[in-house]
Amino acid sequence: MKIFASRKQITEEKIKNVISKGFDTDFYSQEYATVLKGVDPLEHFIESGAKEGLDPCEWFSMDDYVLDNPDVNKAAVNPFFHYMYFGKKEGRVIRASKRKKLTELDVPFLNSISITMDDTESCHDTLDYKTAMNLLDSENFTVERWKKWAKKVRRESSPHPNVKANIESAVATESGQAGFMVGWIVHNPDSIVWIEDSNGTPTFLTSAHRIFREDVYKAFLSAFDQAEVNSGFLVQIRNIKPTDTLAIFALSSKGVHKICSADVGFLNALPVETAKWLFSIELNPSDVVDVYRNMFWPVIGEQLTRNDRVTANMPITLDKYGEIADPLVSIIIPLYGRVDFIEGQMVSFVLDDFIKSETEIIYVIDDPSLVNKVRTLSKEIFELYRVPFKVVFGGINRGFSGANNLGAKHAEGNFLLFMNSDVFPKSPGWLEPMIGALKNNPNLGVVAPRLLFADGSIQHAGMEFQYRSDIGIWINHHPYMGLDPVLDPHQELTVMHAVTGACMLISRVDFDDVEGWDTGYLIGDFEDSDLCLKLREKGKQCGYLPSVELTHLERQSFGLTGTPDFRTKVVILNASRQMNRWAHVIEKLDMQHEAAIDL
Amino acid sequence: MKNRILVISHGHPDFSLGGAEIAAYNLFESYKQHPSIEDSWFLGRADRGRGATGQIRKRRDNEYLWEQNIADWHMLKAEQQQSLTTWFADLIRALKPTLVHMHHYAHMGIEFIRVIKQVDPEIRIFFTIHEYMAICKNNGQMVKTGDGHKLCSSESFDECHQCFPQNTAEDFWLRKHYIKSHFDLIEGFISPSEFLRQRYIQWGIDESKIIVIENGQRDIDMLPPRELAEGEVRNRFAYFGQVNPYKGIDILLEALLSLKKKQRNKLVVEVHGANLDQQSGEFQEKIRQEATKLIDEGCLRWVGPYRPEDQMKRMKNIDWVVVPSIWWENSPMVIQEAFVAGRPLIVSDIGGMAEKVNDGIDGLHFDTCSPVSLADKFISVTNDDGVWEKLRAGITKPIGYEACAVTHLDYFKLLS
Repeated sequence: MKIFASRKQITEEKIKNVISKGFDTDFYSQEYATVLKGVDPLEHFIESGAKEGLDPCEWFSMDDYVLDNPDVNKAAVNPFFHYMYFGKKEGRVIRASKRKKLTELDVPFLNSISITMDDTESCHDTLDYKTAMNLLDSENFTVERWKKWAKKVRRESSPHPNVKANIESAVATESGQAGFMVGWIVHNPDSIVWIEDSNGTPTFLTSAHRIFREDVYKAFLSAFDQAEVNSGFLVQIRNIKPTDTLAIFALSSKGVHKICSADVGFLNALPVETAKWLFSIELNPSDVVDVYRNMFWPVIGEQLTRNDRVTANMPITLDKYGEIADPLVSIIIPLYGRVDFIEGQMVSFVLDDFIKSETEIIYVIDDPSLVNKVRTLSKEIFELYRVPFKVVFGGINRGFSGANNLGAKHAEGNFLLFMNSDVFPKSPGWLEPMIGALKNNPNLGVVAPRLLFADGSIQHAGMEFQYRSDIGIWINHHPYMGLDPVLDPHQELTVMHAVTGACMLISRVDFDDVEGWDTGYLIGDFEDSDLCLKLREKGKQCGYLPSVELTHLERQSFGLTGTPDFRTKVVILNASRQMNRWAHVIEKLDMQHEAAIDL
Repeated sequence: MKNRILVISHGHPDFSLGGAEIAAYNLFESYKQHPSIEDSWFLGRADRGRGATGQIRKRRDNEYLWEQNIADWHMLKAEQQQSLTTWFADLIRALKPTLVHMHHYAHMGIEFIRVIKQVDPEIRIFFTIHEYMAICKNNGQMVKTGDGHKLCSSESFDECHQCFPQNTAEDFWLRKHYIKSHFDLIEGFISPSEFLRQRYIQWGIDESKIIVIENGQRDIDMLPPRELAEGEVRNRFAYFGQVNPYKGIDILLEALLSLKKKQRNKLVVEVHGANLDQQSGEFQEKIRQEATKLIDEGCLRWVGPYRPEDQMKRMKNIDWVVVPSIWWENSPMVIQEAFVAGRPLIVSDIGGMAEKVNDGIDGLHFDTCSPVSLADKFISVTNDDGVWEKLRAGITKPIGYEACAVTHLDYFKLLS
């Protein structure tokens, strides 16, 4: 892209001016009213909306443009600006915003495919139909036999009399690990329709998740006497790659009709990016959790597992500042985004003789952009404070669980204290009572203190599982959050459903017994409750120790990114995974606050 | 049983200095000190610059902030529904109030009333109404939408529909039906003015369930009269409060402009007002234009906003307080404050203003929305030496914070 060589001349004003020519203020303010909060829509789009993938108008999908044009992604330019300024001239393909509704927009398209349905059409008596049914019903159905038949059967070029369909998006990851198609199809339940890739391999809609599409329903009202009501579909297509072509075929009395086809776009295989694409599909609300569990998780979970395999091979660097011999406790602190917290913690650690003599501090860099900063800072901090510590870097961002596991791998203590970098002790002597609680109560697998916000109100006083009947999932609730600590009904060591991972102590033995932190959640905050549930399954309980208080500047160290809508969906996705794994344990818990235990 | 009172307000005076917030906060402080009250708390809705998260945070001992907002101003429904049955319910469970004294539901939604009863049906709820929001969808102003700010006397589903064509008359029935069902959970209502009380009785609150208690004021001695120079008269008038279209600041400026230059040069008007820059461009422009001319001439002084603790200092140097609002008002705090300072008032002759200022006894009335009528008052009081002293002598000292709290506790039947 030669044009980017002259990028310096593109001023902010120019960008704004170019974008404003295609920007639809009404569309934007209507679609994203909840995030706008009074900000000028164009300003919002340029400042933050574009980064979050919000669409500027009905006819332009930001996500699709980036997916279709990897060079735009690399150039880190506002995709809509790119299209208006370069892409249009270059003839790049664009796709409509997924927020568009067919009936409102696509009148020319509807006219072009003719919305009349021939209800006298029936192909049930044809030989083709009978053969196809036999193939499908047969216990020995094979793709090869189907392909052979499909190749032979007569192709008909006229429009199909009563099957209408449109592919709105088809994407696949580079490796073909994940491939999806979204669109709608109007067809009778007994009609024979299938999707074919470039090799002729079929995918049948029986495996699709079907979605009610009001726009299609209204456009083809008369057809729905017989047609499948949920005309929308999301279907997983295996073994396809970007640049393949997919087509939908249907059988009629005249032969096989190609209803429509589409080129497969590029889907980023990073779990977060795949999730973003999947989240953009509007599902029937009552199906959300089911689809997340059964369709999204298998794909995203596999990507996460692959990530683990990749990270396992990454080179690890370990730097030591000072010497620590035979530590009792290893304090493991992942670093992400900010490094200034290190010194904020160090001013407390330096006052605490127990920390200095009995523990080793392990900082885990979980953000490659911090490596150089931490190296410089570590030396300075060690010179100033003389508190020994280690710094581990695993080559890549591993997420909260992965970073903690990496820290644990380099830990020598009999106890592991996992601590966020934005958690700060109020005074020395906070760690000993936590160790005491674990040692004196063999039934406890983990102990966490009370955490307070900067204003002194409760951030963490144990966690409890709450059932959200509107979406049918269990979420993690922080009881009494924001209240004065004197109002906490628990002032002594108490067993809770779960406790926070922002600061928790666990013995090395128990940690290894449950195989550490689970890395299968998507940037969520379910890793800690998952760990607690693993311990519970092993017969261990979770202790909350309110007599120890630390300050937690929550969400300063591990920020979730994206729109509120994206964050909500991530929570639902993770909650659905937690439920897959642990519903049997959660449902047996006493849903009232659990009582204080005897010491 | 020990009495524990939670005061709930739509704002915290640390962030928002409206009359209702201040009244609520003063009551909370007085309750806390009263011997028959074991403990008292204040929950104020606040915007901490990160939107309505639904979370509750401690402000200081016994004081909390709630990041809540309204998503639906027609039905007054809260934005963060999940917050009601989690964080808010947790707060009620933890504080265990025996009585909740609420002062608003704007920006919080009306559902929390039901949640309090759901947590513990024994908790008694009292509500001090500071506005007409349940009666009128137009910000509770009881002023018609559209140009001209026409006053409205009572709600009717059809007339409300005319103000808000997007809602049908039936929508307004539903609105009232919904709000009323929440009001039914409230044991007693308090109104700072008889005017507002009557409006709500007309709307549907049983008259035995709503009483008048005026907002409490600082318990201090009246300020001495402004010292006059040789030959000077009582010619200094002041406006205190928000500068918005309902407060009639334009009436005040137009009254000055309607006078002959020679006449208006004999008097000084001070505007101690805030938030002009938050008003619509058109209104700002109009006020700026009118004010600039008068400021240049010297008869208008634009003093600007003030901190509450400075108000008495500012009252020292003026003679009269003007309240030219073009809407009904309830019990404007500035009237009580002027009485505390010993400054007679000139007010619009409607609603809470006409009720609180007695024409010819502790102040004067002029015809609402009439600059000419207000200008006449300016001329007549500056030409009559005796009237200021007479009206000042007619002022009755307003009820103090403590006495106000005791009157409430008596109404709640909490005094032994």
